[in-house]
Amino acid sequence: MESSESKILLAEDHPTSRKLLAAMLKRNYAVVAAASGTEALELAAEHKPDLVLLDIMMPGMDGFQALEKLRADIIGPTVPVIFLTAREDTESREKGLEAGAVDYITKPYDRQELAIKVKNHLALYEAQKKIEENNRIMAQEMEMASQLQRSLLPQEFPHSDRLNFSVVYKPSSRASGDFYDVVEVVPGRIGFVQVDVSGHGVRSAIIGAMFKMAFQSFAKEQISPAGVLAKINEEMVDLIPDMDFLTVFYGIVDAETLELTFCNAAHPRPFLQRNGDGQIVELAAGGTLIGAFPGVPFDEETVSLQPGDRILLYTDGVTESGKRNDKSTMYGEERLKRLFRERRGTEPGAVVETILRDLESFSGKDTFDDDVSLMLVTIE
Amino acid sequence: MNVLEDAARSLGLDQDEVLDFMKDFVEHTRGDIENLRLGLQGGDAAAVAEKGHSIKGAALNLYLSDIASAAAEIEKRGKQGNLGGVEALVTSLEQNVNELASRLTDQG
Repeated sequence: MESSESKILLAEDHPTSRKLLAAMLKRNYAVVAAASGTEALELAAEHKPDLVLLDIMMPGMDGFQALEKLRADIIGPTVPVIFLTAREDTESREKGLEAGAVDYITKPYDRQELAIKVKNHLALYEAQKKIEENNRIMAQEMEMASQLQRSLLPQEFPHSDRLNFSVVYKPSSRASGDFYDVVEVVPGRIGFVQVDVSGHGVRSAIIGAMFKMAFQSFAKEQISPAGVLAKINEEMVDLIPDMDFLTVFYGIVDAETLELTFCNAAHPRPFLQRNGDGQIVELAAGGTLIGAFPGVPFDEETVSLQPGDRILLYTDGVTESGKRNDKSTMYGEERLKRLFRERRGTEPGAVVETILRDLESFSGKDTFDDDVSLMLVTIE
Repeated sequence: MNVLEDAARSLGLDQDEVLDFMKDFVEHTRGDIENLRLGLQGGDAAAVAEKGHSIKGAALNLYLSDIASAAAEIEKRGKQGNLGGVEALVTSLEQNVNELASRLTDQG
Protein backbone atom coordinates (compact mmCIF):
# COMPACT_ATOMS: atom_id res chain seq x y z
CA MET A 1 0.00 0.00 0.00
CA GLU A 2 1.56 3.26 -1.07
CA SER A 3 -0.17 6.07 0.69
CA SER A 4 0.33 8.66 3.37
CA GLU A 5 -1.33 6.19 5.77
CA SER A 6 1.97 4.32 5.92
CA LYS A 7 4.37 5.78 8.42
CA ILE A 8 8.09 5.77 7.83
CA LEU A 9 10.74 6.37 10.44
CA LEU A 10 14.10 7.45 9.10
CA ALA A 11 17.24 7.71 11.19
CA GLU A 12 20.13 9.68 9.70
CA ASP A 13 22.59 11.75 11.67
CA HIS A 14 23.55 14.25 8.97
CA PRO A 15 20.97 17.06 9.03
CA THR A 16 21.02 17.73 5.27
CA SER A 17 20.73 14.06 4.35
CA ARG A 18 17.94 13.64 6.87
CA LYS A 19 15.95 16.54 5.47
CA LEU A 20 16.64 15.46 1.90
CA LEU A 21 15.41 11.92 2.45
CA ALA A 22 12.34 13.17 4.31
CA ALA A 23 11.53 15.47 1.38
CA MET A 24 11.80 12.54 -1.05
CA LEU A 25 9.40 10.44 1.00
CA LYS A 26 6.86 12.84 2.38
CA ARG A 27 4.90 13.17 -0.86
CA ASN A 28 3.63 9.62 -0.40
CA TYR A 29 4.14 8.81 3.26
CA ALA A 30 3.98 10.20 6.75
CA VAL A 31 7.63 10.64 7.78
CA VAL A 32 9.21 10.99 11.20
CA ALA A 33 12.94 11.70 11.28
CA ALA A 34 15.48 10.87 13.97
CA ALA A 35 18.98 12.32 14.23
CA SER A 36 20.47 9.36 16.12
CA GLY A 37 19.93 5.73 16.97
CA THR A 38 18.69 6.66 20.43
CA GLU A 39 16.15 9.11 19.04
CA ALA A 40 15.07 6.46 16.52
CA LEU A 41 14.12 4.14 19.38
CA GLU A 42 12.11 6.89 21.07
CA LEU A 43 10.28 7.86 17.88
CA ALA A 44 9.62 4.23 16.96
CA ALA A 45 7.99 3.63 20.34
CA GLU A 46 5.91 6.77 19.93
CA HIS A 47 4.87 6.49 16.27
CA LYS A 48 4.83 2.73 15.57
CA PRO A 49 6.26 2.98 12.05
CA ASP A 50 5.36 0.67 9.16
CA LEU A 51 8.89 0.85 7.78
CA VAL A 52 12.26 2.06 9.10
CA LEU A 53 15.12 3.56 7.10
CA LEU A 54 18.26 3.33 9.18
CA ASP A 55 21.66 4.84 8.53
CA ILE A 56 24.40 2.45 9.57
CA MET A 57 27.10 4.81 10.74
CA MET A 58 25.77 7.20 13.32
CA PRO A 59 27.61 8.60 16.34
CA GLY A 60 26.70 6.90 19.63
CA MET A 61 24.31 4.07 18.89
CA ASP A 62 24.98 2.90 15.35
CA GLY A 63 22.49 1.37 12.95
CA PHE A 64 23.26 -2.23 13.94
CA GLN A 65 22.72 -1.55 17.64
CA ALA A 66 19.56 0.44 16.90
CA LEU A 67 18.21 -2.39 14.73
CA GLU A 68 18.79 -4.96 17.47
CA LYS A 69 16.95 -2.86 20.05
CA LEU A 70 14.17 -1.94 17.64
CA ARG A 71 13.53 -5.58 16.80
CA ALA A 72 13.80 -6.82 20.38
CA ASP A 73 11.80 -4.16 22.18
CA ILE A 74 9.78 -1.97 19.85
CA ILE A 75 8.85 -2.96 16.31
CA GLY A 76 9.09 -6.73 16.51
CA PRO A 77 10.31 -9.06 13.80
CA THR A 78 8.09 -8.06 10.89
CA VAL A 79 8.33 -4.28 10.38
CA PRO A 80 10.72 -3.86 7.45
CA VAL A 81 14.00 -2.12 8.18
CA ILE A 82 16.09 -0.85 5.28
CA PHE A 83 19.68 0.20 5.83
CA LEU A 84 21.12 3.34 4.25
CA THR A 85 24.67 2.67 3.17
CA ALA A 86 27.47 3.86 0.95
CA ARG A 87 27.67 1.96 -2.33
CA GLU A 88 31.16 0.61 -1.67
CA ASP A 89 30.37 -0.54 1.85
CA THR A 90 29.53 -4.16 0.99
CA GLU A 91 30.61 -5.47 4.38
CA SER A 92 28.06 -3.33 6.25
CA ARG A 93 25.35 -4.27 3.79
CA GLU A 94 25.90 -7.98 4.37
CA LYS A 95 26.12 -7.50 8.12
CA GLY A 96 22.91 -5.49 8.07
CA LEU A 97 21.00 -8.13 6.14
CA GLU A 98 22.25 -10.81 8.51
CA ALA A 99 21.16 -8.68 11.46
CA GLY A 100 17.58 -8.58 10.20
CA ALA A 101 17.35 -5.70 7.75
CA VAL A 102 15.22 -6.60 4.74
CA ASP A 103 17.12 -4.50 2.23
CA TYR A 104 19.52 -1.60 1.76
CA ILE A 105 19.55 1.61 -0.22
CA THR A 106 22.85 3.02 -1.35
CA LYS A 107 23.97 6.63 -1.34
CA PRO A 108 23.47 8.73 -3.37
CA TYR A 109 19.75 8.10 -3.13
CA ASP A 110 18.03 7.41 -6.38
CA ARG A 111 14.40 8.45 -6.55
CA GLN A 112 13.27 5.31 -8.36
CA GLU A 113 15.25 2.87 -6.26
CA LEU A 114 13.98 4.50 -3.08
CA ALA A 115 10.37 4.60 -4.29
CA ILE A 116 10.32 0.99 -5.50
CA LYS A 117 12.05 -0.52 -2.48
CA VAL A 118 9.92 1.38 0.01
CA LYS A 119 6.72 0.58 -1.87
CA ASN A 120 7.54 -3.13 -2.24
CA HIS A 121 8.55 -3.64 1.37
CA LEU A 122 5.49 -1.79 2.62
CA ALA A 123 3.30 -3.97 0.39
CA LEU A 124 4.96 -7.11 1.75
CA TYR A 125 4.52 -5.87 5.28
CA GLU A 126 0.85 -5.08 4.69
CA ALA A 127 0.33 -8.56 3.20
CA GLN A 128 2.08 -10.12 6.18
CA LYS A 129 -0.08 -8.12 8.58
CA LYS A 130 -3.20 -9.31 6.77
CA ILE A 131 -2.04 -12.92 7.00
CA GLU A 132 -1.32 -12.50 10.71
CA GLU A 133 -4.74 -10.91 11.23
CA ASN A 134 -6.43 -13.71 9.32
CA ASN A 135 -4.52 -16.28 11.35
CA ARG A 136 -5.58 -14.54 14.53
CA ILE A 137 -9.22 -14.58 13.46
CA MET A 138 -8.96 -18.23 12.42
CA ALA A 139 -7.42 -19.15 15.76
CA GLN A 140 -10.20 -17.26 17.51
CA GLU A 141 -12.84 -19.06 15.47
CA MET A 142 -11.19 -22.42 16.11
CA GLU A 143 -11.24 -21.68 19.82
CA MET A 144 -14.92 -20.78 19.57
CA ALA A 145 -15.53 -24.01 17.68
CA SER A 146 -13.67 -25.95 20.36
CA GLN A 147 -15.77 -24.31 23.06
CA LEU A 148 -18.92 -25.11 21.10
CA GLN A 149 -17.76 -28.69 20.68
CA ARG A 150 -17.03 -29.04 24.41
CA SER A 151 -20.46 -27.61 25.19
CA LEU A 152 -22.07 -30.47 23.24
CA LEU A 153 -20.71 -33.06 25.64
CA PRO A 154 -22.84 -34.08 28.61
CA GLN A 155 -21.70 -32.99 32.06
CA GLU A 156 -23.19 -36.12 33.62
CA PHE A 157 -25.12 -39.20 32.58
CA PRO A 158 -28.62 -40.07 33.76
CA HIS A 159 -28.52 -42.55 36.61
CA SER A 160 -29.39 -46.16 35.90
CA ASP A 161 -28.92 -49.23 38.09
CA ARG A 162 -28.70 -51.43 35.01
CA LEU A 163 -26.40 -49.47 32.73
CA ASN A 164 -22.89 -48.18 33.21
CA PHE A 165 -21.26 -45.77 30.75
CA SER A 166 -17.49 -45.27 30.51
CA VAL A 167 -16.15 -42.75 28.04
CA VAL A 168 -12.84 -41.44 26.84
CA TYR A 169 -12.82 -38.53 24.46
CA LYS A 170 -9.73 -36.89 22.98
CA PRO A 171 -10.57 -33.98 20.73
CA SER A 172 -8.12 -33.46 17.89
CA SER A 173 -5.96 -30.35 17.66
CA ARG A 174 -8.52 -29.07 15.14
CA ALA A 175 -12.03 -28.49 16.41
CA SER A 176 -14.82 -30.66 15.06
CA GLY A 177 -18.43 -31.47 15.80
CA ASP A 178 -18.02 -35.00 17.14
CA PHE A 179 -19.81 -35.75 20.37
CA TYR A 180 -21.63 -38.35 22.41
CA ASP A 181 -24.63 -38.16 24.66
CA VAL A 182 -26.68 -40.28 27.03
CA VAL A 183 -30.30 -39.37 27.68
CA GLU A 184 -33.26 -40.85 29.49
CA VAL A 185 -35.67 -40.97 26.56
CA VAL A 186 -38.63 -41.90 28.73
CA PRO A 187 -38.50 -43.23 32.28
CA GLY A 188 -36.76 -46.60 32.20
CA ARG A 189 -35.35 -46.26 28.69
CA ILE A 190 -31.84 -44.94 28.31
CA GLY A 191 -30.64 -43.73 24.93
CA PHE A 192 -27.00 -43.34 24.00
CA VAL A 193 -25.63 -41.76 20.86
CA GLN A 194 -22.21 -41.32 19.32
CA VAL A 195 -21.79 -38.86 16.44
CA ASP A 196 -18.93 -38.23 14.05
CA VAL A 197 -19.24 -35.08 11.90
CA SER A 198 -17.30 -34.90 8.63
CA GLY A 199 -14.56 -32.32 8.44
CA HIS A 200 -13.20 -30.01 11.10
CA GLY A 201 -13.44 -26.45 12.27
CA VAL A 202 -16.26 -24.04 12.88
CA ARG A 203 -18.56 -25.54 10.25
CA SER A 204 -18.34 -29.02 11.74
CA ALA A 205 -18.88 -27.68 15.24
CA ILE A 206 -22.03 -25.90 14.08
CA ILE A 207 -23.28 -29.06 12.34
CA GLY A 208 -22.65 -31.01 15.53
CA ALA A 209 -24.61 -28.43 17.51
CA MET A 210 -27.47 -28.59 14.99
CA PHE A 211 -27.60 -32.37 15.35
CA LYS A 212 -27.59 -32.17 19.11
CA MET A 213 -30.50 -29.70 19.14
CA ALA A 214 -32.49 -31.87 16.76
CA PHE A 215 -31.63 -35.01 18.70
CA GLN A 216 -32.68 -33.59 22.03
CA SER A 217 -35.96 -32.51 20.50
CA PHE A 218 -36.82 -35.67 18.53
CA ALA A 219 -35.47 -38.20 21.02
CA LYS A 220 -38.20 -37.21 23.46
CA GLU A 221 -40.91 -37.55 20.81
CA GLN A 222 -40.46 -41.21 19.96
CA ILE A 223 -38.56 -44.24 21.18
CA SER A 224 -37.58 -45.57 17.77
CA PRO A 225 -33.90 -44.88 16.99
CA ALA A 226 -34.53 -45.33 13.27
CA GLY A 227 -37.48 -42.95 13.43
CA VAL A 228 -35.46 -40.33 15.25
CA LEU A 229 -32.54 -40.54 12.85
CA ALA A 230 -34.86 -40.44 9.83
CA LYS A 231 -36.45 -37.25 11.12
CA ILE A 232 -33.09 -35.69 11.90
CA ASN A 233 -31.86 -36.66 8.43
CA GLU A 234 -34.80 -34.89 6.79
CA GLU A 235 -34.14 -31.80 8.89
CA MET A 236 -30.43 -31.68 8.26
CA VAL A 237 -30.25 -32.64 4.63
CA ASP A 238 -31.59 -29.23 3.65
CA LEU A 239 -29.51 -27.32 6.14
CA ILE A 240 -25.97 -28.56 5.82
CA PRO A 241 -23.72 -28.13 2.78
CA ASP A 242 -23.62 -30.93 0.21
CA MET A 243 -20.21 -32.21 1.12
CA ASP A 244 -20.94 -32.49 4.85
CA PHE A 245 -22.52 -35.42 6.66
CA LEU A 246 -22.60 -37.26 9.95
CA THR A 247 -22.27 -40.85 11.00
CA VAL A 248 -24.38 -41.76 14.02
CA PHE A 249 -25.01 -44.73 16.25
CA TYR A 250 -28.11 -44.41 18.39
CA GLY A 251 -29.24 -47.12 20.76
CA ILE A 252 -31.97 -47.29 23.39
CA VAL A 253 -31.91 -49.84 26.20
CA ASP A 254 -35.00 -50.77 28.13
CA ALA A 255 -33.63 -51.00 31.65
CA GLU A 256 -36.39 -53.41 32.62
CA THR A 257 -36.27 -55.95 29.76
CA LEU A 258 -32.65 -55.23 28.79
CA GLU A 259 -33.62 -55.03 25.15
CA LEU A 260 -31.41 -52.87 22.98
CA THR A 261 -32.94 -51.24 19.93
CA PHE A 262 -30.44 -49.49 17.74
CA CYS A 263 -29.92 -47.74 14.43
CA ASN A 264 -26.50 -47.41 12.90
CA ALA A 265 -26.26 -44.59 10.33
CA ALA A 266 -22.98 -45.44 8.60
CA HIS A 267 -21.10 -45.27 11.90
CA PRO A 268 -18.26 -47.70 12.71
CA ARG A 269 -20.02 -50.85 13.91
CA PRO A 270 -20.00 -51.07 17.70
CA PHE A 271 -18.84 -54.36 19.25
CA LEU A 272 -21.39 -56.17 21.43
CA GLN A 273 -19.49 -58.59 23.64
CA ARG A 274 -21.61 -61.32 25.17
CA ASN A 275 -20.94 -62.12 28.78
CA GLY A 276 -21.41 -65.85 28.43
CA ASP A 277 -19.12 -67.01 25.65
CA GLY A 278 -17.34 -63.71 25.05
CA GLN A 279 -18.46 -63.70 21.44
CA ILE A 280 -18.37 -60.32 19.75
CA VAL A 281 -21.23 -59.24 17.50
CA GLU A 282 -21.08 -56.11 15.34
CA LEU A 283 -24.11 -53.83 15.47
CA ALA A 284 -24.65 -52.94 11.83
CA ALA A 285 -28.35 -52.44 11.11
CA GLY A 286 -29.40 -48.93 10.24
CA GLY A 287 -28.86 -46.86 7.16
CA THR A 288 -26.69 -44.42 5.38
CA LEU A 289 -25.04 -41.12 6.31
CA ILE A 290 -27.10 -38.47 8.06
CA GLY A 291 -27.54 -35.23 6.13
CA ALA A 292 -26.39 -36.58 2.78
CA PHE A 293 -29.52 -37.92 1.06
CA PRO A 294 -33.19 -36.98 1.47
CA GLY A 295 -35.89 -39.58 1.95
CA VAL A 296 -33.65 -42.56 2.62
CA PRO A 297 -34.95 -45.29 4.94
CA PHE A 298 -33.36 -46.13 8.27
CA ASP A 299 -33.75 -49.55 9.83
CA GLU A 300 -33.39 -50.62 13.39
CA GLU A 301 -32.77 -53.91 15.12
CA THR A 302 -33.52 -55.16 18.58
CA VAL A 303 -31.26 -57.51 20.50
CA SER A 304 -31.63 -58.92 23.99
CA LEU A 305 -28.86 -58.11 26.41
CA GLN A 306 -27.76 -59.98 29.50
CA PRO A 307 -26.04 -58.71 32.61
CA GLY A 308 -22.33 -58.55 31.93
CA ASP A 309 -22.75 -57.78 28.22
CA ARG A 310 -20.71 -54.88 26.97
CA ILE A 311 -21.04 -52.61 23.94
CA LEU A 312 -18.02 -50.70 22.71
CA LEU A 313 -18.74 -47.67 20.50
CA TYR A 314 -15.88 -45.94 18.73
CA THR A 315 -15.30 -43.32 16.06
CA ASP A 316 -13.08 -43.76 13.03
CA GLY A 317 -10.55 -41.50 14.74
CA VAL A 318 -9.63 -44.67 16.66
CA THR A 319 -9.40 -47.23 13.89
CA GLU A 320 -7.96 -44.87 11.26
CA SER A 321 -5.13 -43.55 13.41
CA GLY A 322 -1.84 -44.05 11.60
CA LYS A 323 1.06 -45.98 13.02
CA ARG A 324 4.11 -44.15 14.29
CA ASN A 325 6.53 -43.63 11.38
CA ASP A 326 4.14 -45.47 9.03
CA LYS A 327 0.96 -43.49 8.50
CA SER A 328 -0.34 -45.92 5.89
CA THR A 329 -0.75 -48.62 8.54
CA MET A 330 -3.87 -47.92 10.56
CA TYR A 331 -4.84 -49.04 14.05
CA GLY A 332 -7.75 -50.94 12.57
CA GLU A 333 -10.83 -52.73 13.81
CA GLU A 334 -9.11 -56.07 14.38
CA ARG A 335 -6.59 -54.66 16.82
CA LEU A 336 -9.37 -52.83 18.63
CA LYS A 337 -11.53 -55.95 18.74
CA ARG A 338 -8.64 -58.11 19.97
CA LEU A 339 -7.78 -55.72 22.77
CA PHE A 340 -11.46 -55.43 23.74
CA ARG A 341 -11.70 -59.20 23.87
CA GLU A 342 -8.53 -59.50 25.97
CA ARG A 343 -9.86 -57.00 28.51
CA ARG A 344 -13.10 -58.90 28.99
CA GLY A 345 -12.82 -59.17 32.75
CA THR A 346 -11.45 -55.70 33.25
CA GLU A 347 -13.34 -52.94 35.06
CA PRO A 348 -15.19 -50.80 32.43
CA GLY A 349 -13.34 -47.53 33.01
CA ALA A 350 -10.01 -49.32 32.69
CA VAL A 351 -11.05 -50.91 29.38
CA VAL A 352 -11.45 -47.61 27.50
CA GLU A 353 -8.36 -46.16 29.17
CA THR A 354 -6.35 -49.22 28.13
CA ILE A 355 -7.52 -48.88 24.54
CA LEU A 356 -6.58 -45.18 24.54
CA ARG A 357 -3.09 -45.94 25.90
CA ASP A 358 -2.64 -48.66 23.28
CA LEU A 359 -3.71 -46.22 20.57
CA GLU A 360 -1.25 -43.59 21.84
CA SER A 361 1.49 -46.19 21.89
CA PHE A 362 0.59 -47.35 18.37
CA SER A 363 0.51 -43.85 16.89
CA GLY A 364 3.38 -42.49 18.97
CA LYS A 365 1.47 -39.41 20.08
CA ASP A 366 -1.14 -38.32 22.58
CA THR A 367 -2.95 -35.85 20.35
CA PHE A 368 -4.60 -37.07 17.19
CA ASP A 369 -5.47 -35.73 13.75
CA ASP A 370 -9.09 -36.74 14.26
CA ASP A 371 -11.25 -36.89 17.36
CA VAL A 372 -10.89 -40.11 19.30
CA SER A 373 -14.06 -41.15 21.07
CA LEU A 374 -14.76 -44.44 22.89
CA MET A 375 -17.89 -45.31 24.81
CA LEU A 376 -18.33 -48.55 26.72
CA VAL A 377 -21.85 -49.48 27.78
CA THR A 378 -21.94 -52.22 30.39
CA ILE A 379 -25.06 -54.04 31.46
CA GLU A 380 -24.90 -54.36 35.26
CA MET B 1 24.45 24.71 -13.01
CA ASN B 2 24.33 21.15 -14.24
CA VAL B 3 24.98 19.59 -10.85
CA LEU B 4 21.76 21.14 -9.56
CA GLU B 5 19.74 19.89 -12.52
CA ASP B 6 21.25 16.40 -12.34
CA ALA B 7 20.68 16.11 -8.60
CA ALA B 8 17.10 17.41 -8.87
CA ARG B 9 16.31 14.87 -11.59
CA SER B 10 17.86 11.93 -9.74
CA LEU B 11 16.25 12.86 -6.45
CA GLY B 12 12.86 13.65 -7.95
CA LEU B 13 12.79 17.09 -6.29
CA ASP B 14 12.44 20.66 -7.55
CA GLN B 15 15.67 22.49 -8.27
CA ASP B 16 14.71 25.12 -5.70
CA GLU B 17 14.42 22.43 -3.06
CA VAL B 18 17.78 20.95 -4.00
CA LEU B 19 19.33 24.42 -3.95
CA ASP B 20 18.11 24.84 -0.38
CA PHE B 21 19.51 21.45 0.58
CA MET B 22 22.88 22.33 -0.93
CA LYS B 23 22.99 25.61 0.98
CA ASP B 24 22.11 23.68 4.11
CA PHE B 25 24.90 21.25 3.31
CA VAL B 26 27.45 24.05 2.87
CA GLU B 27 26.51 25.55 6.20
CA HIS B 28 26.81 22.28 8.07
CA THR B 29 29.95 21.21 6.27
CA ARG B 30 31.76 24.38 7.26
CA GLY B 31 31.06 23.43 10.85
CA ASP B 32 32.19 19.87 10.15
CA ILE B 33 35.45 21.13 8.67
CA GLU B 34 36.11 23.06 11.87
CA ASN B 35 35.54 19.85 13.80
CA LEU B 36 37.81 17.95 11.41
CA ARG B 37 40.60 20.38 12.17
CA LEU B 38 40.00 20.01 15.87
CA GLY B 39 40.22 16.24 15.46
CA LEU B 40 43.47 16.59 13.55
CA GLN B 41 44.94 18.87 16.21
CA GLY B 42 44.02 16.32 18.86
CA GLY B 43 45.32 13.39 16.79
CA ASP B 44 41.86 11.78 17.04
CA ALA B 45 41.86 9.54 13.96
CA ALA B 46 38.47 8.00 14.80
CA ALA B 47 36.82 11.41 14.99
CA VAL B 48 38.43 12.38 11.68
CA ALA B 49 37.14 9.18 10.04
CA GLU B 50 33.66 9.68 11.44
CA LYS B 51 33.41 13.27 10.28
CA GLY B 52 34.83 12.36 6.86
CA HIS B 53 32.22 9.63 6.56
CA SER B 54 29.40 11.99 7.49
CA ILE B 55 30.43 14.64 4.94
CA LYS B 56 30.93 11.95 2.30
CA GLY B 57 27.43 10.55 2.78
CA ALA B 58 25.71 13.92 2.60
CA ALA B 59 27.77 14.96 -0.43
CA LEU B 60 26.94 11.71 -2.21
CA ASN B 61 23.25 12.25 -1.54
CA LEU B 62 23.46 15.62 -3.29
CA TYR B 63 25.52 14.20 -6.14
CA LEU B 64 28.49 16.40 -5.19
CA SER B 65 31.14 13.96 -6.34
CA ASP B 66 34.27 16.14 -5.85
CA ILE B 67 33.40 16.86 -2.24
CA ALA B 68 32.39 13.22 -1.65
CA SER B 69 35.74 11.99 -3.03
CA ALA B 70 37.76 14.34 -0.83
CA ALA B 71 35.73 13.37 2.24
CA ALA B 72 36.10 9.66 1.38
CA GLU B 73 39.88 10.01 1.32
CA ILE B 74 39.81 11.75 4.70
CA GLU B 75 37.61 8.98 6.09
CA LYS B 76 39.96 6.33 4.71
CA ARG B 77 43.04 7.95 6.26
CA GLY B 78 41.24 8.33 9.57
CA LYS B 79 40.26 4.67 9.57
CA GLN B 80 43.85 3.71 8.83
CA GLY B 81 45.04 5.91 11.68
CA ASN B 82 47.24 7.73 9.24
CA LEU B 83 46.61 11.44 9.62
CA GLY B 84 49.64 12.55 7.59
CA GLY B 85 48.53 14.71 4.69
CA VAL B 86 44.98 14.95 5.95
CA GLU B 87 45.36 18.68 6.68
CA ALA B 88 45.98 19.27 2.96
CA LEU B 89 42.94 17.13 2.12
CA VAL B 90 40.81 19.16 4.51
CA THR B 91 42.04 22.38 2.87
CA SER B 92 41.16 20.97 -0.54
CA LEU B 93 37.75 19.93 0.77
CA GLU B 94 37.20 23.41 2.14
CA GLN B 95 38.07 24.93 -1.24
CA ASN B 96 35.53 22.66 -2.94
CA VAL B 97 32.87 23.66 -0.45
CA ASN B 98 33.68 27.36 -0.94
CA GLU B 99 33.45 26.98 -4.69
CA LEU B 100 30.08 25.30 -4.31
CA ALA B 101 28.95 28.09 -2.02
CA SER B 102 29.91 30.68 -4.65
CA ARG B 103 28.01 28.85 -7.36
CA LEU B 104 24.96 28.53 -5.12
CA THR B 105 25.10 32.27 -4.42
CA ASP B 106 25.10 32.91 -8.15
CA GLN B 107 22.01 30.73 -8.40
CA GLY B 108 20.25 32.91 -5.86
